[in-house]
Amino acid sequence: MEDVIIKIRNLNVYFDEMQVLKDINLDVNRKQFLAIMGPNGGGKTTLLKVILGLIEPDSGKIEIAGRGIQEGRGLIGYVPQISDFNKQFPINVKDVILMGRISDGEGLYHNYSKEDVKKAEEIMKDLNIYEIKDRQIGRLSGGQLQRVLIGRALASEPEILLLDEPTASLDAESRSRIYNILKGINDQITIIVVTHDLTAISSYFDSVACLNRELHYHGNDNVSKEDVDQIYGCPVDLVAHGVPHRVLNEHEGVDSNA
Amino acid sequence: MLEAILKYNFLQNAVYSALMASVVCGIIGTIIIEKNLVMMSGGIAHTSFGGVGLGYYLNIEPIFGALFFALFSSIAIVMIRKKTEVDSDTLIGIMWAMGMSLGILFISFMQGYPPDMSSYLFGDILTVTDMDINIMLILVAFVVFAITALFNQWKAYLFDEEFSYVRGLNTNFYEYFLFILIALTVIVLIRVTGIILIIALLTAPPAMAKLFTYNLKKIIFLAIIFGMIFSISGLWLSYLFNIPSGATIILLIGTAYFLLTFITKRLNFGS
Repeated sequence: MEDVIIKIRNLNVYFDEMQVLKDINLDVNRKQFLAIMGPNGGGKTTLLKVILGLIEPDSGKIEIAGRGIQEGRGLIGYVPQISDFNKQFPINVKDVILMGRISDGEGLYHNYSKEDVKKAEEIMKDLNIYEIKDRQIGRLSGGQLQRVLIGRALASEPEILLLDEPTASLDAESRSRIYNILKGINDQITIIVVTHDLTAISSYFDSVACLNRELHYHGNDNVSKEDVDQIYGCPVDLVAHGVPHRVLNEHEGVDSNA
Repeated sequence: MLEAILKYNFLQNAVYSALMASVVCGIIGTIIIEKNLVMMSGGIAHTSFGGVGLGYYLNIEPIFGALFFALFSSIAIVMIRKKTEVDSDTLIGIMWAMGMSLGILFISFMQGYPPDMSSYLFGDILTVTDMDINIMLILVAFVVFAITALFNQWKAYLFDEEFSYVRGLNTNFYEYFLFILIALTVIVLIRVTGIILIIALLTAPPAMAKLFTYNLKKIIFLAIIFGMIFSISGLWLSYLFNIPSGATIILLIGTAYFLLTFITKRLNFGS
């Protein structure tokens, strides 16, 4: 049953002279719920963009469902950071969701089909954004906009969902709402979340990888304090950021994770 | 004026060119505003002045020289942006002035009496020729077809390039294509408002339209209508008072924008 859907081998990425990702190896199984955490500038977004084919790696190999990135790309639903794009763009919620149905080779004078619209409406109802379907996206709250972006990614009926900081700048309630949605679709879809938000780890993810140029993979949510210290390099800072201790293993006197 | 329009070919051409210019301005203007390419478009317009000069120097129709320069510079901008780390703003600044300089240089090479460049710099809608109209017609038809036929794809590309790429859209193609369409639009507008005044005609109508709606299609349609209203009335005023047409249209459209902004803000404030 352990069915690998994303396979990364010896991946290296440099920006000019600086190495951003060093010798990354990772297997993601089907229906895994993986968190990739790490400090800002640790290469989290870069890793996501390499998987999406947006950044070309300098060396290494990535397979998505046994295919190369270009062919495997279609299986991935991408949820970018909400801070990344133009919220003033004249587009409403429904049209954003429908965009998930578009693909290359749609041809001239393309119109979304009845199925497309039906699928989009289903998704909007599931995500509780149907009532705001005609609203321009600049007039949504952060949590609503995040759900719209998840909806757009789901509209393409992906096998893998990649999310970049889905809960950054959201309040606790919106945050748990987002993770509940993700948990709900996890029985169908492999989910990878890139985040520096440690609060959610213990309750939602089934595995955690720590990324700070190098990747440290943990098969389950047993992230030891040593791991986090090593990754972040500054445990005091961690606590100061309001990260609850319950996230971490009972580290004192306990052998760290196997 | 109606009588005069029916009577004089040059007035008919002026009206046709104003209407066609409004169509491309509504479409491409809306896009460049959303994509933050306003200054880029200004840069392409100014670079095309080099082509006007080259045209005069080689004794070919200047508008063809301008077309060549606009296309060349827009493709070059995309390539340089992709291949290097050069800041777009810097790039525009350099190309903007280089294009103008080339134009001036080419003109200075010419033997004898230098031609009057002001109609290319500031536009002269009353001197639009039948050939100009034909060129404009072809370019406008192409721009309209390119945008309407791929509208959903354009919308996806404009809104979120990365997501569109992940969905399998050839975003490279759309980027080059968009810059080519901007170049063609610049050429359509040169005869109407001139190189220097182009950006206002590109930006004011969509900016006005955006005061009324959040729907991309409606913004484009409204912008076209605003463009038509103000370019035709500008034309009429310039004919009536015998004042420069390009400047009249721009001043009219700019004033209208500021007035409308003020009024809509006031109304929103009250409610």
